[in-house]
Amino acid sequence: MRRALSAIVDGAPSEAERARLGEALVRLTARDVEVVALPAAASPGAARNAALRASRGELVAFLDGDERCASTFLEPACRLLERRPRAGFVTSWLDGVPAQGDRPARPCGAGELLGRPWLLHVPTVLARAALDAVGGFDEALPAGEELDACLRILESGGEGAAIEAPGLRARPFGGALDGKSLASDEARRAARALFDKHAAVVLRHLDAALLGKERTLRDLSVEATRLDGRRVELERRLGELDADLARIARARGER
Amino acid sequence: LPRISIITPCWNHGRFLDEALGSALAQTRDDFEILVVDDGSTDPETRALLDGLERPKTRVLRAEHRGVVAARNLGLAEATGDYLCFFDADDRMDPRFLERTAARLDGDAGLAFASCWVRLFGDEQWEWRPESCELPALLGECTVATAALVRREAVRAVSGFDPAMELGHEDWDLWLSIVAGGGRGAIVPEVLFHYRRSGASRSTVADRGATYLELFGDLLRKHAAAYRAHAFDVLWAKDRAIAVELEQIVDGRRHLAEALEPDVAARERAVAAAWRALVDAKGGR
Repeated sequence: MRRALSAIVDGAPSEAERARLGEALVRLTARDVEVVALPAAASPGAARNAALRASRGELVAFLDGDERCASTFLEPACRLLERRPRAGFVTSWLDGVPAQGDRPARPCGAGELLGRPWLLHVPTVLARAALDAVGGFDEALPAGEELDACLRILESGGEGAAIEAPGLRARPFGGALDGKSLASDEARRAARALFDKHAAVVLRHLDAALLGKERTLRDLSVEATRLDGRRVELERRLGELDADLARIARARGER
Repeated sequence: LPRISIITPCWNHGRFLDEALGSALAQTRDDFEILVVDDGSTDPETRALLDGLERPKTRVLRAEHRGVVAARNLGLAEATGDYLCFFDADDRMDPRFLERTAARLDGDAGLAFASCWVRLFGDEQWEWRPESCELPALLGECTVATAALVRREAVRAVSGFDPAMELGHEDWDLWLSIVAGGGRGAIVPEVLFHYRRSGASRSTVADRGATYLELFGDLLRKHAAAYRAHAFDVLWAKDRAIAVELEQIVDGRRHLAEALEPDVAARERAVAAAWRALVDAKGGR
């Protein structure tokens, strides 16, 4: 399988900056890398469309600049898309949310997509042909352009699949879309734009969407309890080890 | 006639009942009656306590065991107060609970109920401080205490508690029915109620994954029109909650992986080295 990388850089970088970034990426990835420069005000959809124009692969995956892709996702996702000609995308899941079980890839419809957090990026591999058929990414949306594209692929009769494993390793929060910035009016407007565009689909799948989000919240709560238990266990172990060290020090002193 | 009826279903909760009634009888406002609904208790301690119960302002109603929803509805049918408080037999009121919540209803004839902040005790200790009980917030999660003081007419207008919700969240359903029907509530921003939480609590069971989702599904179907009318607000609130939880989990994992686990490993190495040094010293080397 031939893989290529296109790095899309907005903010109107200079020629020298583009060259430096290209060299660094080639060194890092040992692959062909093309650096595409965009003006500062380009929307995320415009950036993705620029990458589509610059790349040649039949399957495309988008990774934001502050993300790391899980090594376990791309390979099975690409295999799945190659086996299923009607599948327009294969999506993964968020790191941090425990998987619902050890299940293989399964169909992913609009209800499941809408039951995920809309503005958090869930890595997805898309078939170029399916994207082309729906006109690529919506450049007017301020965020959620991948979710929008997947919904349009489904609405146009295409199929989707999900592999229930994190497609992304530990997105370093503190970036554009963490818990705090989702409280902003800007994020709310972005989500509202998605809702307004797909209102009919959302209302048709409202129960599934709400239950999906609730299920994620329950899973996160279980994971938070597990992590807290592990923290308490490690802190107790530290206390025991400190006590051991103190006993050994006393024993040495008594000799 | 008493202005307030406190309705206390009791099924085998005799060991807590005295404490609960004591907290009700210690209220700074005293125009109330207490209706203890014995929901067919079988526990000898509870039966003996209820047989001999002689407390001021208190009546005991007997019923076959049919669950908390039926017991509350029986209390509702017998209540004479204008305001009702559905007060479980294992909880406690702050002495000013009735005074503070009733003042809200007294002062605003358009208000259907007045809730408050709640302190959990028992197996969990934390404070629950909901901010809003308007419909979009209430559709996302129950933000009203079961014991919130509510006008009797508002409860009767929605036919009381729905027997179909016996598995749990019947209180959430009641508040949703009232607010979706045009009723308005308020939350007094003070901790005025103490809610006992244990592994066997109905609310604990109802909050468990599959049960919660089943009950939430029931609410979605029953209040479909309200959910559709406020779809974006409810979906968006959930997404924000997920992002906050996810961020905490990523931080928690990082703390374990980058701080605590390396600390424990380093300390284990230090203990092993100290032991070796001690053994060597004892061997005279």
